[in-house]
Amino acid sequence: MTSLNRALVAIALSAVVAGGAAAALVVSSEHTPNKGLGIVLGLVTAWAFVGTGLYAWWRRPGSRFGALFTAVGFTYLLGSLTASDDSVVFTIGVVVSNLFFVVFAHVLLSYPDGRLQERWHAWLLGAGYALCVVGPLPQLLWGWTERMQESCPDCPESALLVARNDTLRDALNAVTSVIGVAIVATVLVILIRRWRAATPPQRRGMAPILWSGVAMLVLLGSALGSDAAGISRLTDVLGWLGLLVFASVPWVFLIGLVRSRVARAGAVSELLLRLGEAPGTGTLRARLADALGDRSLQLVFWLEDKGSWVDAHGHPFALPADDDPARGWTAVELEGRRVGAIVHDRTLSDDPELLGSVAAAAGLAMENERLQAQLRARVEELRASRARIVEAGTQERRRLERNLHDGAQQRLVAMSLTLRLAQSKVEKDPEKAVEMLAGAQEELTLAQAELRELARGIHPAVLSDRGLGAALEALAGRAPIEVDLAELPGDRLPEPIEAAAYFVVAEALTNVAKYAHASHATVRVARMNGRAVVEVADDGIGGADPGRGSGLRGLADRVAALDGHMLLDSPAGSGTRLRAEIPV
Amino acid sequence: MNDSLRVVIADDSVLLREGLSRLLEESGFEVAGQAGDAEDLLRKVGAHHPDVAVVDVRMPPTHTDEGLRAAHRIRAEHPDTAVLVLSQYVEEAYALELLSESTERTGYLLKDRVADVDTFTDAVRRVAGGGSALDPEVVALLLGRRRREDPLEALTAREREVLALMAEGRSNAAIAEALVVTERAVEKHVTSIFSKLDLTPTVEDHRRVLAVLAYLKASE
Repeated sequence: MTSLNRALVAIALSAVVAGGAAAALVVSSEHTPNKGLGIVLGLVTAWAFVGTGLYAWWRRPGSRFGALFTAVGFTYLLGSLTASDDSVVFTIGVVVSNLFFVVFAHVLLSYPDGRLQERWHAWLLGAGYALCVVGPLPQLLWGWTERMQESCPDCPESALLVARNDTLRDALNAVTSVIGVAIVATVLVILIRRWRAATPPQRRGMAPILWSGVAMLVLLGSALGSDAAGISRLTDVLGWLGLLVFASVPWVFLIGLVRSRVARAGAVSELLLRLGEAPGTGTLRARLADALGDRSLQLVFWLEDKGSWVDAHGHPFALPADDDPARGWTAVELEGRRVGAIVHDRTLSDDPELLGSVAAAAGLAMENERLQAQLRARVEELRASRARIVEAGTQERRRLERNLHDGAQQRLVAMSLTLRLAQSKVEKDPEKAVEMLAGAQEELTLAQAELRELARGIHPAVLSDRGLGAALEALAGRAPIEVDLAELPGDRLPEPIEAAAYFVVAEALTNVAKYAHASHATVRVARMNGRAVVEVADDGIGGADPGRGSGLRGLADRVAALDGHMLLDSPAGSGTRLRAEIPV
Repeated sequence: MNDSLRVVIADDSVLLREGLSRLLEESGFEVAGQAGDAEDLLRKVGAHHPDVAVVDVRMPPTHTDEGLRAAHRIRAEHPDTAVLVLSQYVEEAYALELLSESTERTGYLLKDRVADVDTFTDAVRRVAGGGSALDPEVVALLLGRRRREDPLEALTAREREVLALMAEGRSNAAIAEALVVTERAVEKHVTSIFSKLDLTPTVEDHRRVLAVLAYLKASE
């Protein structure tokens, strides 16, 4: 038995003992009417609260609700102290007899987890507790009211009696009654507001407690009011009705609990049937939402290869945090493999068995939808990468246009001018003309060199003619750092793969030269298990940022377009390794 | 100078073909034929037995390396016809491929060089005379490669210049002229280079190119 269980049993036993003591006090009382009825009603009510409270405590040890509910039962028993014939005990009894009322308000305000949602609620309850204790004092200090004398002619004298002063007592009673009604009304407003703000699953959970509590507060609040107004008959009726409603609260709560379990169990079996008859076509979410009674329910799917969650549209999805007050989630597995999760209203987390059985029932259908989501995620990714490829193409064209415009084109314009000038000088100043022609020749040589470089950058001819090996050798020969071609494929690879591999190496070497502070790079291209593996490693400073520039991104897209993928491994201080794998 | 060297030109651009033809004729060559593609070239070489074929790398139908392949065939089938390949790009792979079997009667020049008439006609005459011609840019690339332990670093600046000119296929006399030194000085440099690079000295220019190129290619 756990320590919690031991404590709960101890509390249950002390409730039995306390109940017995209370009953004994009532039996021995000389001024209490209807002893039998009083004992039965009192014990049934107190024990029902304690029992229900302990059950809730045991089910959800993390919530204070059970403890508070149990406390309502114990404080209710305190009222039996008024049965004592001893003046002091009787007086104490009068002071504490209404405490249960505030403890119950505490339960209502802190439902469902036993924690008050706002600070001023604590002040409100504090005021309630104070009023409970202070409320009877005017009578105890300055003598019983007429109603009290009538209803209990044999009650002992107050141990606190100073002197009879009806005027003072009645004035103070009126004040405490008004304050009491105000507090009750405030609690009612809070509860009704909370109801209006609640989600359907939350409402279902809070309905029994809230409505019986509201009814009881209305009745007892009215009783307080009518007492202050001096309508004693009405006060009695309302008071009794209030107590009856109060006594019914634990039972209503239990009935609600059982009913929702039965309803949910029914919903689960119905879910199983419906999942069986028509395999998932987008209605899985609706069916699970029905079964769990949570219209806000979302399905998310696990993408094993990416290690991430996506929604039904394939968009990335962030699961709610463990301490999210509004949303919770439950993993769905199929044959021990995670396929997805149900994201639901936090209140459903209180019923892990139900979530567990729904999740188990949903496994297979969820796997189907997961595959669809995976497909959508892939389509989404392709869409994005296609857009990037198009954009990269446009950028590249812009770059080429700029290079042509700033380079060769300018030189040709200059040369055209020089030629025209030379032409005009041929007769008058042939020497100058020859000099100018030489200048034009020089410009032309430069323009040719620039065009050659540009053309090589677009697509090196040697790549198509002689293959990747020759092209990489040329690339290595032109690199500003020492490049070791450690491994090259023996035969030609398909052209798109050769081109991708070439540009991966070219971009990687450019980056090495620009950022890595490396003296040496090793290039390896190999065919391995049906894939072309391209690797460029350097001995530089590492710490390369994969998001840097559009170059790497564009390459990753290019490689991805061939169903391959690219990895950048660049720990700070120990070089950079870029690896691309492309299926052949 | 031999005034009657006969040349066949192959290039798919009529403009360039005509230009080259005029340039060569003005420089005293006889243009025996022009070809627009490799097949035509081989036919004309077979018919005219020219001293030199000037061949563009890229020609129809695939516009890749037809010229290069035609050059190999000419060297194999018509050993008396020299081949000078013109390339739009500096591709050391092409050059080394072309010159790796034999450097005799073979040349590889960047197309831009034709504008420098003297260099170009000198190269044509050199290959026609049994020698070789390698574009200075290709040589610069080969020499410029980063090597882990670079024996070329042991060479003096002047020796590197001599090595580059040797790789281009120039004779000692031509090197002496280019560097404005005596032939004896060049011979001394050559001996020193060969010993520093641990190469066997050879007399014939084209064998010397072969050795140098093989060395540069191997020592990556």
